[in-house]
Amino acid sequence: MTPAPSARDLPALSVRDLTVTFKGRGGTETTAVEGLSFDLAPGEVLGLVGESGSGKSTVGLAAMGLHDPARTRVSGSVLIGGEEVVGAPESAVRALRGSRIAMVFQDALAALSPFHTVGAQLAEAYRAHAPAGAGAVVSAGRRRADAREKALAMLERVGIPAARARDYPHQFSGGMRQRVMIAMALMNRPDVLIADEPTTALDARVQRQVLELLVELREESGTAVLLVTHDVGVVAGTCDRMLVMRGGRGLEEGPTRKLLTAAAHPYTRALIGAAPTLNTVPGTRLPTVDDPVPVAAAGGGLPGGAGRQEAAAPARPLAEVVDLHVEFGGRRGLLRRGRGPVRAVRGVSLRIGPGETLGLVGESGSGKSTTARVLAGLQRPTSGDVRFDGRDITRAAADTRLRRELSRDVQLVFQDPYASLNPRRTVEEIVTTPLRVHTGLDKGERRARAAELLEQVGLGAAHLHRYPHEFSGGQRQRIGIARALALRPRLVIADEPVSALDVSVQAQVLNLLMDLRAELGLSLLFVSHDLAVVRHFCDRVAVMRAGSVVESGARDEVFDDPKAPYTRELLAATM
Amino acid sequence: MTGYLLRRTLQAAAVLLAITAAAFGLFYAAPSDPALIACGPKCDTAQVEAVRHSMGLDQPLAGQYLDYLRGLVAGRTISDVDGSPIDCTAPCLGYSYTLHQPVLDAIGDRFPVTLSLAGGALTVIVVLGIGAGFTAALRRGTATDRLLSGFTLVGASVQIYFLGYALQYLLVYSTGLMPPPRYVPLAGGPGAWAAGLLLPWLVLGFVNAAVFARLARSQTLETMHEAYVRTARGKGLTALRAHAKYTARGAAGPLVQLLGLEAGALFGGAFITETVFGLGGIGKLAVDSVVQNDLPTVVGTVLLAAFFVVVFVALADLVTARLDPRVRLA
Repeated sequence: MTPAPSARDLPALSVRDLTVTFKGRGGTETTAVEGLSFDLAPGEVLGLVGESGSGKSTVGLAAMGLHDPARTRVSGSVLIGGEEVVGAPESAVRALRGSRIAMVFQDALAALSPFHTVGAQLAEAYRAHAPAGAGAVVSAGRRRADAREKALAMLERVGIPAARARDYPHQFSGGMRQRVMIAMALMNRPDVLIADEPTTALDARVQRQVLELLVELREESGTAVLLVTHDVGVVAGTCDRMLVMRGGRGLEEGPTRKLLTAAAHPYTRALIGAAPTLNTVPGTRLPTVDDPVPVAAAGGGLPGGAGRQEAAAPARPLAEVVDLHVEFGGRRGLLRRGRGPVRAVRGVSLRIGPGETLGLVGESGSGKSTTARVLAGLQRPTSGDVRFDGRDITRAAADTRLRRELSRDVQLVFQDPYASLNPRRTVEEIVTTPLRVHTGLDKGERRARAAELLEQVGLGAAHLHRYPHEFSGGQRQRIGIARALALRPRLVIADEPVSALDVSVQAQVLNLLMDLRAELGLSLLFVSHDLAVVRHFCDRVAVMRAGSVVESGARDEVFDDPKAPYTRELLAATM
Repeated sequence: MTGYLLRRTLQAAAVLLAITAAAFGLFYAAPSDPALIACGPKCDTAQVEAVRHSMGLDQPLAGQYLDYLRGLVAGRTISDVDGSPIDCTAPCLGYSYTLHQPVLDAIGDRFPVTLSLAGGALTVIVVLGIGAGFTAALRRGTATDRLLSGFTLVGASVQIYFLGYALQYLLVYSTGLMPPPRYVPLAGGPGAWAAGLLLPWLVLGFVNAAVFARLARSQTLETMHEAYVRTARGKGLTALRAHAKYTARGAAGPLVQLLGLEAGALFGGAFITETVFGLGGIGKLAVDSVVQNDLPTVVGTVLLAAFFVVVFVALADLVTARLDPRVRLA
């Protein structure tokens, strides 16, 4: 696939026939990467694209030689500027780590030590490889000062004031933390930087800034970047070439532009088309990889979509919040220095009509989830009116009976399909719990209803007795949806229901939700940070920032002609 | 920080006040007559009444309690059995009519023993317990892991009175490998002090080390796979250095908390160990006073034990906050 490197310009990173096998308990073996080969030229940005389980992150760790040797078998060859990593003694690999090859991880909050200041952590990266020097007595203090100076300069370079070197990671915002992480990786100007999902946890605007910084630094230092990501949008904007991985194998490799427009492999095409963009026709079925077609929707064309929007302008809204305020904390007391309350929601008014889908968009901390929780009766508002079907439900969070009644009609789908299903309950128990609480159905009837629900979401009765851990993330989210639909609710509140999923799975779940919405006439509050998804899925949109709605209106109005500068900013950052 | 310390001190004072009230209540709930005990078996009724009056036991309960509290803060004068005044300076814990000395003096005489014993045992716990747990975690699944985990488990499953006597017999009286356990004040030479206490330290430490070893092992296993440890290794640090600097720091929190509780408990006296090795510490004083119905000493030792628990728990919180900047003292 790649031309043989001439002796003169050696690739910064050369991977040949890399195979990584994990040994599990009881002698089971899982092959995460199988026979992968690629080259990364000096100064190049290569996007390593794949979904979870494709082995893309394993490649990065193998190149760093960071796998647990007791439980991992690595074969093949990884050359960093001509030096072999696979099978090399630990001391030799350690000399490369942090100096010739460095890594930036997805979750900077977890990847930075919470116990040390960022300045100290940066300085340590430098000191780990600074030459010991001849005059050992003099150099100890000198090296410390040197390292500190370098750390401060690097911080400034990534846009963080040197004065903040004394702060701890938790005192920074997500974007700033990732800048710290990048600064740390580049302390010794490595030849290769492996960036594993460096912007996945970040808001769109911050993501764009961090990627721009990465590209800028690459140009300055000549560091080659292996950008590991699931997000084709990120690759499109950043990488020279891309390599698509699936099931541990390299599937297709080539210049980014070529693969985006004319990929040879159907999987690559599906992966590229799976995520809606701001140019996708709203409401259309998204292309997926191996889509299990839900029974009810089989053969049906595309219900919903453009035609739905006009229908949804009724006199009385199904659910409504008026001038909602929510404040958190702010405990003061004797001898306790008072911190004012956090004003999470400041005067939000929203309405959702019957059969309508309202998209609530905003960055993290904008108050969108808090608003959704108030509507679900899970969060007590500080002030404001909350109504469902004309009934005042403001006190639902404090009133167990009212909340219970409300939960018949309002159900939730959560973001994390791993945390939101009880691992000790079977699927049947999970899906039938709402039925047991709210209906008089006997066990047999509940089981029949559960089977019906599972078929509706593209699973089957055969799955009833399984446990959540036996399912993939997408399947789990289907189970969560089945549970939410068990009582035939009138309003479903979905808080980031697809943001933890792979793009192809996201497409499947979005298709499913669109089918179910049309079939059951559901009303939805769809909370998301992803503008492209919201545009694709929702009839009306409300954009939130810092606890207030800055703009709301029909989907096309907001997206085609955004009034608020903030909305325009968000749209510009969407890849 | 100042606000926190002040708040914490007030909390501690409230806890101790509640404990004194409860312990003082014991004085009266107990089916014994302090006056009778103080007076002795040969007293007739009139004599007992006289003693009761001179001890102030005929005063209302609330008044006596306030007297006790005042004595704690400012000192007071207590009547002996014959009515002669005994000067008891603050913090006055009362007067033991059994030991014929102020309770504070009785505690003061024995406290160096408890301090030495607890300090040494805690050192053994940290080195043996936490050290073994940390090492076992780093060598997870190896023979070292199994050996260390098994060894510390032995400590948890044997009783001090068995292990103490068995080791004394083996190491002291049969083979003479160790000197007989006894308490020599530190002033009498650190060598003699340590030699006399070595066996009690080892036994008390070993028996209590298992909990720490298990917690240290599980905590280390949990934190050694944290992303920040991987980051440290990604910088080119050796595995050992990364674990010593980052994993250990991350694992420390619960261990410090547990150590605070353990220290509080040990400084309040270790009766079984003291008895097995014939050391006269606070634990023995407390149990003896209970057996002999020496109620002022009972209240005094209960209060002392509570005081140490409160102090060490607060200290553990301060250390935890110092180790992890995310912890807010509240």
